[in-house]
Amino acid sequence: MAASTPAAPVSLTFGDRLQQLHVRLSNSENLYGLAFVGPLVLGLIVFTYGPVIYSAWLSLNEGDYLRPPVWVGLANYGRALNDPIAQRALVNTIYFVIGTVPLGIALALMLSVAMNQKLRGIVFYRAIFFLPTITSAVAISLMWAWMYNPQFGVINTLLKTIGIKGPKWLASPDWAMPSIMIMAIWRGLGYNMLLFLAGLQSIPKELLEAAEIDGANAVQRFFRVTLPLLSPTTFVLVVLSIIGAFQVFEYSYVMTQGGPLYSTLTAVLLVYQKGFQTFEMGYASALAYILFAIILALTVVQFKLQARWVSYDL
Amino acid sequence: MHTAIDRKAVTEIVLKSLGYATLTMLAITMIFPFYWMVSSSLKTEVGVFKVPPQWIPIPPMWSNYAYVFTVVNFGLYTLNSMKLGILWTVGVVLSSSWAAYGFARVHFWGRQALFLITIAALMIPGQVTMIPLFLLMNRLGWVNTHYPLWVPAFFGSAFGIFLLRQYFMTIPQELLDAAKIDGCSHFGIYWRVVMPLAKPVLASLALLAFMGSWNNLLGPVIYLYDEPLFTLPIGLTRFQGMYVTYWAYTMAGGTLSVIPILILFLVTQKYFVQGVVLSGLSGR
Amino acid sequence: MSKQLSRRAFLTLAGAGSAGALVAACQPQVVTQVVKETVQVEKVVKETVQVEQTVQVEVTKEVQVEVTPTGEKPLLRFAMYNFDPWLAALPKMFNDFEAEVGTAQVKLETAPWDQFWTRFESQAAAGIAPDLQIGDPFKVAHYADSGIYLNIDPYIERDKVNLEDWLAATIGACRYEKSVGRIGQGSLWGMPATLVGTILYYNKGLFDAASVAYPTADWTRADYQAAGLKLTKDSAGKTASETGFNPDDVAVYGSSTIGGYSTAVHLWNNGGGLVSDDQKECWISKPESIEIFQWLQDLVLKDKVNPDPSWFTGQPDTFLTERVAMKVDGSWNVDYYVTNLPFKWDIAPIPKGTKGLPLVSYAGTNTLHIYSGTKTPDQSWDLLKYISGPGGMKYFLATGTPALISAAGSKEYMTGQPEHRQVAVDVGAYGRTYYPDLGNDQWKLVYDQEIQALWLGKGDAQTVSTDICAKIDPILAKL
Repeated sequence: MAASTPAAPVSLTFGDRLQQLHVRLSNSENLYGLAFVGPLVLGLIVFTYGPVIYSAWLSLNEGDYLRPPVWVGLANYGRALNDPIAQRALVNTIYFVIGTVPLGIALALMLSVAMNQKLRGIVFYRAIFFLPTITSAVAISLMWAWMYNPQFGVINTLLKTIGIKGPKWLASPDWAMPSIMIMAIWRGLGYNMLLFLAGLQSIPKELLEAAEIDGANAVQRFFRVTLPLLSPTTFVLVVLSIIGAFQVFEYSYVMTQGGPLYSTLTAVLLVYQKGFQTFEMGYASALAYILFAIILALTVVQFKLQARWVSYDL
Repeated sequence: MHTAIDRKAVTEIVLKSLGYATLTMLAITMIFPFYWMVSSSLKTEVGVFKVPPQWIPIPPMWSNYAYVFTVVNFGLYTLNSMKLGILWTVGVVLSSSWAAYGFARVHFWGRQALFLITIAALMIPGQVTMIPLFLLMNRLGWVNTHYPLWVPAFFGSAFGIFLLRQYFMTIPQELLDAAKIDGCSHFGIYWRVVMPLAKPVLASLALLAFMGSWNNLLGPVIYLYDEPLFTLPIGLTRFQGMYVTYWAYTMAGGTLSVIPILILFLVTQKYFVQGVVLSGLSGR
Repeated sequence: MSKQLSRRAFLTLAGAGSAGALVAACQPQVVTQVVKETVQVEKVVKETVQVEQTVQVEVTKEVQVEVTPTGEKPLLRFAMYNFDPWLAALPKMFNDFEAEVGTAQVKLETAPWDQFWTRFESQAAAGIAPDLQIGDPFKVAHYADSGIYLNIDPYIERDKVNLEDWLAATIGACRYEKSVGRIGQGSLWGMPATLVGTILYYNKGLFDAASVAYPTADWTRADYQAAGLKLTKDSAGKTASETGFNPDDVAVYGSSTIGGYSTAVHLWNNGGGLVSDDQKECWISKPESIEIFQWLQDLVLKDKVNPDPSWFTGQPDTFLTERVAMKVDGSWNVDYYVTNLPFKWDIAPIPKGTKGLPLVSYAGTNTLHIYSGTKTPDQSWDLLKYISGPGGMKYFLATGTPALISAAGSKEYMTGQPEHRQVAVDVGAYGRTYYPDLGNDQWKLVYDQEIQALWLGKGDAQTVSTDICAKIDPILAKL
């Protein structure tokens, strides 16, 4: 920041502000900043926030993009907040986030440490764990739907051999969402594993060796050296996973259409239904922006908390 | 002394085998849908869903693949997917690292706020911005061209920026100061110091970006109407109909589209995983 | 359509009009084009002169050449979602159209079903929708209402098209009346292509093995249920009507009749329904409807002859894999089955109700529409007329039941598997729509979710139905 900015003035006159601006503009850091983020800003305005503003405007109307909409102000937002189905969708989504993010990240972390070793054939293991991420969603959904079949799916058949009568999985209002959560964690493992692996590369071997010489065992090395050094990567993955989990859509859309009995209705699935099936795009947009506000608030909180556990210096 | 080392060695071996066993079991669940996809692609339409399932298709219907190749203009679509994949990846890697460096190492006014605004873009469900974006692309005259599918990549990807910024922030300040003393401007530091150091993360980002573009179905379907422009996912979903889906062909298509990414992964993984030897006992 | 005529245009009109009168018998389309577009008049004059000279010689050939003077023929974009039989038939129709009528060239644009509608909505919003496209019965109201579809009443009148050449139900599916938001009445917004209806499929082999007589046109749902009891077998071979039957280990189910249309047909045959025809009242809690919902729930939970919907997860077609002996389903599968089923099967009309009401089933139409913003409405109409007429229908035969009566009843369509193909055509006569009026998705989404409670056993038909109507009434009130 410019060092010559007056600190905590009683009030800034217009002249003061002009001078601030002048200082800021001629500050080379700011000019460099402009160079580096200029294209990004341009892209954000044109490709992202332009459309966002239009759709946000539509959220204050009733109708769709095909004909002149009808202004209703905040009525859509009011309707969304009072709609029991929307509330259920939000609850389902939060349930999904809590169920998949912590577990998914923890498992991916452990997996990446295991995959990071120089062992024979480890390359193929890494490829195998990455496979679900690159296999088509259709194949995966079909496979899991088949595995989850209550009468003769693989899972219940295996459970039968040890004497447990498996639940109806995707067809049970209580088990449908957990079924999807298992699928989601399983599918996301390879993706997170990849990024953790990249992060692990930046941990100097010398540090780990030094720790070993000092008498630390594998577990201690992991928790005292690896984990803290990995925290920037972990932070990214946690934030991005939460953002992604809040917008989960594919699984319920393909496999359950939000059922049974709304148990797998997620927020974005509801947005899609209202936007493209019942053609109430204004309302759908309002739902989307309420979700956006929630995710944004959570992300800001995470950023504020990062000072407590994320360390960028060695 | 001797017994202490032995006990340590034994525990290590036990833990290792346990680890291996769990990993192998997990790996089996990982590979299972892929295996099922490939084996289904070699069955007859009726055989795909037979219960009890036929684990190894006999006889393998290679004709399914032949059919897919005749009906789908495989070569052309793959070329298009490649072109878009490479363009997208180059765009994402360059523009994200460029902006990420700015956020990580350049102290400009409004840095925090702008970063949050960038990340916020990820929080808006695409379903509501899809049509306005389409309207914009139409205004630009980019509908029915490849432009919407790669140009935006050159303006930064929020995901890439976030990922790389984290990484860049861990680079020791001393290295950057040394470069500055040597006369490098920010641009020089970016290109000569930071980027080479970030190879693992850049390689991961490149792989994920390529994968994202390769598997993208909605974008190409919405923007491309002329057959010469089509990408592979469009061709391969030809068999997914409204009433009826030809599963065997669909699975053949799925298999064909996984192979390039798998190859890419195997080829590039040495760039982002050098691997460490976790136990000093294995010797060097 | 009305443009001011300049003096020059008026003179050319008069000249063209007299020339056109000479060929009126052969080329009615050319004549009308003269009237419509003053810009094109001169072009047409040249064309009529040419045609006049060669009117005795192959008219068809001349038509191809005549349009080239001012440039290429317009290109029509035709959008269709992925459905292999149509993807095979349409190019053939286009070729024939270009050869026989030749006023335009046609390009086919395809997309997978899921993305087809998001794409269409985006294109419509941007004003660049394809000239022609296939419709969806439940979206016709939306697109007709928002002015995306072209009203083709003027063309019907101009060309004196006799709408009775098509099955009445299929023409009804293309009508929409904006003032009341209802399909089935009002202006015509498209033309029908093929018909689908809900019929009864049955596996002859399984019937023979269980010594059950094949379904006839006299069957009521009681007969259906009785057959189901004998056809449902567990892996030990015991049927559902025998003691010792193990419902947790069923090898073959006798019945599959739960689903959107499949449930509704029974409701209708009992005098019930989901909502009133004007979409204002909820009929799910009418006694006639509750009776059927209870009957269906009993089929699943008591008789165990119909699997509960969870059984279907992960297996797309249980009739194909012989896990289900009878199913009430749409006739869209008939031609796919003819090619792929390895066992003997046939179709029959759905079972009647037990109240002596005339048989009613579901009949829906695949409709074709012209985009209202098309730059070539006349040529688009030419194509639409061709495809929904005998020219196109001869290819639609191979894909499903044609909506054109002459094609549906033709020897070509009627011969072949299965034995009672006629059933798939007849259903058009007694089929009705599945509530396609404006806003139908709003209450259907709720119904689809809430009805699952019935199959999960969370309450009897009375409780569940009343609950659903309580939830749907406010939605219907707003429509």
